[in-house]
Amino acid sequence: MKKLLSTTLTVMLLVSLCLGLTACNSSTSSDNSDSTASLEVWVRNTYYDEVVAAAANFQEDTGIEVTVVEPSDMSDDLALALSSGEEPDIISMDCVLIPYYASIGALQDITEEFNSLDYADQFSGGLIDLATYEDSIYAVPFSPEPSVLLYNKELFAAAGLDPDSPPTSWDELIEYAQACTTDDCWGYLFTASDAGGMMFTFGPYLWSAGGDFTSNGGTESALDSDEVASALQLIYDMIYTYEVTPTTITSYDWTACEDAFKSQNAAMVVLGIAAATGIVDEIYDFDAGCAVISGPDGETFSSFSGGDSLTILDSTEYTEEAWMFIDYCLSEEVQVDLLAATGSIPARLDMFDNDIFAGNEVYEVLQDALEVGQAPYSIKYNEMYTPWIDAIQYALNQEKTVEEALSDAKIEIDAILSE
Amino acid sequence: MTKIGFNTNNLKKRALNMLFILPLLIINITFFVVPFIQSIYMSTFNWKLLGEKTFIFLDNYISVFQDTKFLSTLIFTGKYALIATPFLFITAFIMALLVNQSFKGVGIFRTIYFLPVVISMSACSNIWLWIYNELYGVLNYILMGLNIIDSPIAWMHKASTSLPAVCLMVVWKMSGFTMLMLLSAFQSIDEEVYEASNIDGASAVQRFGRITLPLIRPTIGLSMVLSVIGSVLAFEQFKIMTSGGPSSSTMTTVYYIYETSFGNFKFGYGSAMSLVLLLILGILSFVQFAVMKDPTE
Repeated sequence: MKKLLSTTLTVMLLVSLCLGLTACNSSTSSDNSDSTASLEVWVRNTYYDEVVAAAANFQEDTGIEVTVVEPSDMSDDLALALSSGEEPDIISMDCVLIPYYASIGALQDITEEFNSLDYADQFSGGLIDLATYEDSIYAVPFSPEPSVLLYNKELFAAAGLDPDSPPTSWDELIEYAQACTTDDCWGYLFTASDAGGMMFTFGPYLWSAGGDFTSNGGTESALDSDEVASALQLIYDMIYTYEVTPTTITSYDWTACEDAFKSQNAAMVVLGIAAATGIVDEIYDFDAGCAVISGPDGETFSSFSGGDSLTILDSTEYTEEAWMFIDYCLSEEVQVDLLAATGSIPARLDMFDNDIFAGNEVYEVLQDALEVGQAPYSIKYNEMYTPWIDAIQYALNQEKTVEEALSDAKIEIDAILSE
Repeated sequence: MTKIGFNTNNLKKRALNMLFILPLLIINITFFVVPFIQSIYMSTFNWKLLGEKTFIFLDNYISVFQDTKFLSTLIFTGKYALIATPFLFITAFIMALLVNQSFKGVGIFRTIYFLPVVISMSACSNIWLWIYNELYGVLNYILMGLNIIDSPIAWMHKASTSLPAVCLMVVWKMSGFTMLMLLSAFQSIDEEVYEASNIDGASAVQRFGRITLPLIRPTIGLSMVLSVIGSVLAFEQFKIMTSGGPSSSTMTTVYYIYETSFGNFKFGYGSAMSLVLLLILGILSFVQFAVMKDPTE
C-alpha cells in the first residue's frame, strides 16, 4: 500500500510538471500560430516610451502589431532568451556587441535591405563598422551616444579663461584645467572606475593620438603602441604632474563624475549625450558648455560612438515586417519628432537640418562628435573589459608604469583573442 | 477490521501531508534540482550561447583549479566573509540584547533596527556610495567636522578602505535579520529556567553563560551559517560600489562567475566555477554545524 501511495504521488508530481510544461509550450505555440504578423521589440528604458509611441503609430498605419519590451538587463536577458529560444524579433542593441552576436549567428544579415535605403550613406562610419561582420551588415544605427567634453563656463571665466573657447589641444586641456583647479574644484575628471565608462571617456584620447585598442580587424591587441602610451601618459600627468585630476580617479564612476560637474566640483568632464543635452534643457545651475574631445595637436578630435543599433534576430518569422518597422524608426517622425524630445540625437546625419538641431551649439558639437565617433571592434569586446580597466587602473594608481601596464594587458588580451 | 481502518486513516494522513508539501516540492525541483542537474551537465561542455556545444568532460574543472583569478576572488571573498560575519553577528547580538528588554516603545526600536533588511541590496549600495563619496559624501563631512580626518577619504579607491566600507554597509543592512533570529531565540527560553537559577543563587553572568548561550546555541549556529553563505555569495554590493576594482582587487567569486557567464558567455566554465563554489560552501556549512553542534546531543 505504501508502495502504491508512493507511486501515485510520483505519478501526480510528474503529471503536474508535464502539465506545467505543456501549458508553457501551448502558450508559445498559440502566439506563433497567429496569422497576423506580430513583432516583439526590446529597447532600453531611455527611450521606451518613445518607441511605444512609434509602435502605436506603426500599428495604426500597417496593422502589424508591435509589442515593446524593456528588459531589466538587456545583455543578460538576451543571453537567456537565446538559450531558451524565446528571443524577440528586433532588438535595439548596444552597438559594440553587434560583432559578437553576428558572429554566433544570432542576427540576420540585412546588407541587401540596408543598401536599398536612400539614406544609407547618412550614418556615422564608425557605427556602420560596428554593424558589419565579415563584410555583411547586421544592424542599423538607431540612437547614437557620442562622448563629448563638458565644461563650466562660469568657472572658466572666474579663472580668466574665455568661456566660449574650450580646449582644442592637449596642452590647452592641461593649461585650462590648471587654471580652474582650486581647493574645491578639480580641473578635469573622467570615468576610470569601470571598463565601460573608461572606454567611453578615455578612448577618444587614444584614437586622436593615433592609437587603437585593437588591430587586424579586432584580432590583436594594439595597446603596446607609443600612441596609446602617450594618451595614458597624458592622464597620468594630469594626476601626478599637473595635479588637476584626483589621485583617486579610479574610484570615480559615471555618476560621481556627473555629480561633481553638477555640483561645480569639476570644471571639465567627459560625459555623454544626456549630460550634453542637459545644457539645452537648462538642467545646470550654471552656464555650461560642450566641446569635442581634442587631439594632441589641436588639429584632430575624436569621440567614442556608443549607443544602440536596431537588429533583426535570425529566428524571426517576420523579417519583412521587422525591416518595415526599422525603416519607420529611422524616419524623421521617429528620429526627430519622437526621440529628440528625450534628448537623443538622430542616427542619420541628414536629420540635423531642422528647427530643433540647426544652429544649436550643443547639437552641432554632438553632430561633429558623431561623424568622427568610433568604438573598439571585436567579437570578444566584453572579454577584453577586465584587462583594459586593470591596465588603466594599475598605471593611474602607480602600481605599474604606463608601459608595463599596457604591455601586460596586451599579453592578456592577445591570449583571449587567440582562444 | 480495526487494523485495516487504522492503516487507511494513516495512509490518508500521510497522503494529505504529502499533498501539503507538494507545492514546495515542485518549486524546489523546478528551481533548484533541475537547474542543479543542468549546471552539472553544462559544466562538462564548452557551452556557447548559440551553436554546437562541445563535450569536454572535466576540462572546465581543470581550468578552474588553474585559474589564478578564480583563486584570487576566492581569497578576497574569504577575507570579506571573515570580516563581515563576526562584525555582523556581534552587532546583531548587541541589538538583540537591547531590544529583548521590556520598556515602552521597544517595538519602535525593533522596527527601526529591522528596517534596512527590507531595502534591496542594490538600493543600499547606491545610498552608501553617496554617503562615502569623496567630494560630497556625508561621512567625510562628519569625520572632518569631528576633526577625525584632515581631508576627505576616497573610500572606494583602494581595497584596504573599500572592503571595510562595504562591510559596514552590509552590517547596517543585514544585522536586523540576525537580530530578529536571536531575539526569537532569547524569547523562546522558558522564564522558569531563569527563576530556578535565581533560587540557586546564579549571578547575571552565570545565567547568561550557563543558560542563555547554551540554549540559543542552535540559533547562533544557524545565523552564522546564513551569514557566511550570504558573504560567500556577495555580488551586488561590490558590483555597484567598487565595480570589482581597482584592478580587480575587490572582485568576489560570484561577481567573477557572473562576468564569465553573462559577460563573456562562457556558460560551461561559469557552471563549473559555480559547482566548485557550491562544494566549498557545503564544506564550510558542514564544518560550522559540526562546531556549533551541542556536545551533549
